[in-house]
Amino acid sequence: MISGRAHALRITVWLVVASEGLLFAGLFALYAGYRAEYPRGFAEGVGLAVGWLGGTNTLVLLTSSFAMAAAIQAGPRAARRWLVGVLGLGGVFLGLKGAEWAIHIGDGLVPGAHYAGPHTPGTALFVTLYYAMTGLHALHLVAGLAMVAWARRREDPAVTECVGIYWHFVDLVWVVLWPLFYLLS
Amino acid sequence: MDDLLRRALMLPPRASSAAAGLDHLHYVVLGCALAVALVLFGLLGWFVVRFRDRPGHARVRPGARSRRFEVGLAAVTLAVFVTLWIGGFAQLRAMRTPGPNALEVYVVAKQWMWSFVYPDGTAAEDELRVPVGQPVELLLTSRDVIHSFYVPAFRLKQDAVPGRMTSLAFTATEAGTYDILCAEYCGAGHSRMRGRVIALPAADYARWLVAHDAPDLARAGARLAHERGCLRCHDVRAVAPPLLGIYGRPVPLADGSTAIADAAYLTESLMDPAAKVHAGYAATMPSYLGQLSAADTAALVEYIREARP
Amino acid sequence: MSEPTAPPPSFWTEPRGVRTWLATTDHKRIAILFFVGTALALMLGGTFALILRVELVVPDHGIVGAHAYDKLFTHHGIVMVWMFMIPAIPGVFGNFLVPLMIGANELAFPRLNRASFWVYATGACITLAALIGGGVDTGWTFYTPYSTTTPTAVAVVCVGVFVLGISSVMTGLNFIVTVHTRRAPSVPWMKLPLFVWTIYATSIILVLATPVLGLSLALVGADHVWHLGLFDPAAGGDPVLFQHLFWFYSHPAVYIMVLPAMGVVSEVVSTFAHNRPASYGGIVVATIGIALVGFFTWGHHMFVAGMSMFDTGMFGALSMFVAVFSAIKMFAWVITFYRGRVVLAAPVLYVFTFLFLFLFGGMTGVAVATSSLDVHWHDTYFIVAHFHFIMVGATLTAYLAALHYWFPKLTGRRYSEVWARRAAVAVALGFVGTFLPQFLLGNAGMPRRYYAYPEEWQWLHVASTCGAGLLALGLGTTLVYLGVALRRGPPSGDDPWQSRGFEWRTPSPPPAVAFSAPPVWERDAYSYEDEVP
Repeated sequence: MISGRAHALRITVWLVVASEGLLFAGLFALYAGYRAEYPRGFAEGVGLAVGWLGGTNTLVLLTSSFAMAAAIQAGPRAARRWLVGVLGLGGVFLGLKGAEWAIHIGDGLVPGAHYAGPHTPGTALFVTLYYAMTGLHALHLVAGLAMVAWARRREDPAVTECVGIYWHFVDLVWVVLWPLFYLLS
Repeated sequence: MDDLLRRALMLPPRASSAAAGLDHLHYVVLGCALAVALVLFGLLGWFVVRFRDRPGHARVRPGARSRRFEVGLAAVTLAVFVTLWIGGFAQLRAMRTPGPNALEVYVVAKQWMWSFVYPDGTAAEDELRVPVGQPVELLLTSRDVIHSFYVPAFRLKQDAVPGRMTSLAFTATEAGTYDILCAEYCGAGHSRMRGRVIALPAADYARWLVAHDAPDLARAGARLAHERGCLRCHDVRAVAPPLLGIYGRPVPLADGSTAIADAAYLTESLMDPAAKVHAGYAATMPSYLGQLSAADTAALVEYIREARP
Repeated sequence: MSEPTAPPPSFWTEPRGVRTWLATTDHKRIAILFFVGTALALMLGGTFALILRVELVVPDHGIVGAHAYDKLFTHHGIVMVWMFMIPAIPGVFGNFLVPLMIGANELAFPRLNRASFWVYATGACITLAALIGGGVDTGWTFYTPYSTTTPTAVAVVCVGVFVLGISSVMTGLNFIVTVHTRRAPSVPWMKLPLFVWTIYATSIILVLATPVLGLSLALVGADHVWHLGLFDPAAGGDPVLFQHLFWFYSHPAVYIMVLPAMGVVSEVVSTFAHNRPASYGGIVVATIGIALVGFFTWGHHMFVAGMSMFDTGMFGALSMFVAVFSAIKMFAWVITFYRGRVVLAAPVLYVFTFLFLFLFGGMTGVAVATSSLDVHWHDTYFIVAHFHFIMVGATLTAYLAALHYWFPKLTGRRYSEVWARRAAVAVALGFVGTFLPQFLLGNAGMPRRYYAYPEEWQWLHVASTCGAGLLALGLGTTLVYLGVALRRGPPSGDDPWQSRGFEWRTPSPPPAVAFSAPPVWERDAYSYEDEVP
């Protein structure tokens, strides 16, 4: 028998990351396809973004990844404290994200039949993709928070490490989403 | 021999320049499959009989397996498949390339009929006339869901995708009438979405064209718009949205959403004006459902498309 | 479930009680649960198919209307693909055998395995609930914009299939981790039974491709409910992008079905030829090769959808590599019989049928991948017959071969060999009889999903329906004699086929805990050399 549980957990988390990676890859492919088709509509869509919120959120997540790395380096006791930090920052991210959605919905930027944003061809698709992709990312973040809470209770370095890998993955997805929806105008 | 094989395989008669080549490749592939099957199942049968478990069956040690043999076998197989692929791909290239001076015909599919519009404005439904021997290029699109234009006698097929223009090139070689079938599932009427291609000898085709003497499509549309009084409302900004330059642009709708003023939207607005009303205008336009033929509708849409500021 | 009359304690009876079955985390019991689920799905999907075949006996206006017909073929496809073929061999035989074949008592995550079955059951129920809501008429491929605009219960089915997909990912993940971490020391990678290799390769596809299916169906469902217009040209969307997403999963899905079937065939051939498989290494390479190349061939479903010549060429060429890997396996299986001790029994009869269907299914696949021929055949009955041969025929015959080969392993009993042979012949003739006429119909130009067709094709449809009847008879017979064997079959002994496979080195049926200590197997799973004087 090869080193057992820790080994199994590590393979599992990498498989989950690969699987989820392809899930997002499908959406990135859609984004790429439509961006190529409607460059103007997408540029205009990026212009609608609340830039400072996106930037702040990027900082928040990067900091949380740092805290996560620290938690893995630290001993079990200190890890618990670092993980509280991760939980807090994840919460802040979700809060800001929610606020951002509320602003957009207030502006009439809702996907589907009630869309009331700019009518440049492609902008409505951009908005739909914005909600789909940031929404899916937020769901993953929620799942990540649940895992972090679990890792904090378990106090098992192997578990913490694996949850860390997943957390970095979710962070990485955001680092790709950020330019797509906030910067590339 | 060729004809016998064709009939045995239930292939329809051939009526396009692509058909014979396709059938011959078909025979080659089928021949390969049968040859491989004969060898493999022959061997299998022989092994099973020769080495079956029976009293007195003495086993012999299987010979050492040669890596060279295995790799060689795989390489030969790959070579055969690649050869087939090259043949097929070359054939596809030739099929996709329209001949010189191709006659262009627009094909618009919708649930569940085919409309054909010729460059001179002639329009027809479910019936495509082409001259024998002249290359034809069909430009296909759809007004609702995906359809697929399929003529078994030509061995040709091309999807008609809404929002896209696809093309299909062919040259009819035999005069006659051939079925057009829809090959992409499109709803309850899918199996009844049939039409006919009538391949006419060049002289007959020319005679038919003259008999029609159809006016230019957009011009016909302009005349129709005038006769029907469309422009009485659609010219005055306060009553109805102006038609000038609206084609292809997003239209804000009364319910807050947007539509692109493409052929599908314009046709819908003619037939069911209340469905998607332009924001800021009252829904006063009457429906022209049943009052305009498909050719008239196409002419009007073409007119609107041409009407650029 | 019946209990063996002369019971050495086995996983069937310990622990006792229905509740222990429902809450079980034992891979053997979960396999049985999956068997019940997939067998029910097969019967349901088969019933839909029979109604379709009976309808098509007349050229128009048979026993159901056009709209009902559309719903029937849609649900036939959905049930057969996602509820039968994808989970059939991995869920039943993978679950039962992988641990036994690697010397483990459990999968890596027993509770995840339990969850995967119940998620499967939930997904199946949701999918079938759509039938109560009137059913879906999109075809199992959900092509947009038809699927986003039809007024039928698209969203419900999308949710159901999404949930079934989650179950697939759980199963796949569990197998991969199990093969990596639970092998007994005497089972290194290159001594893994070939069946385990195929389950491993399949699991990679399940884990990597299923999310993309989930995504595309989630988007279609959401689009249908909220009119997002993601794939609707009226709102700027592109319907062909959906096809790319859909086939990125659904083409590898073919290998999800056919790879485990290949694994079954490798095991059965070796056992009944009493010979080491010709080229173990070749089969392993081909298995992994198919799994990987299979990810890059999806475009061959769209040769006539308006794809560029370059894409058409690439996808066609890559598809040829899958064919080469398949051919390598085909050669290896046939050569395995050379200088063996060939025993003819029901499982190997099914394997012969498999080889026939696989060869012609495969060669018609090569024919379609030559790309120009696909222009004539695309979306005709030729394609229907091709994929029923290669995907359904191969999976079904391998499933039946596995069922007959491992029935003694699962139950410790024997079935009636005479009836099994009769059924095997009926299934073979029935299957070929159903789909051979459909190849000809495709040649003649009959598009698929046609409710009404020209009268000159009627005789071929009648022939096809007769074949389907024979196939149903064969399957029905199988159900009866296996049911009888389950209750009254004579004891089989631990290794009735004198196989050297690892799974036969435990009692049949296995006790709840198969190994008290990691087994030490000195000879590998194909060591028939001692039969040679």
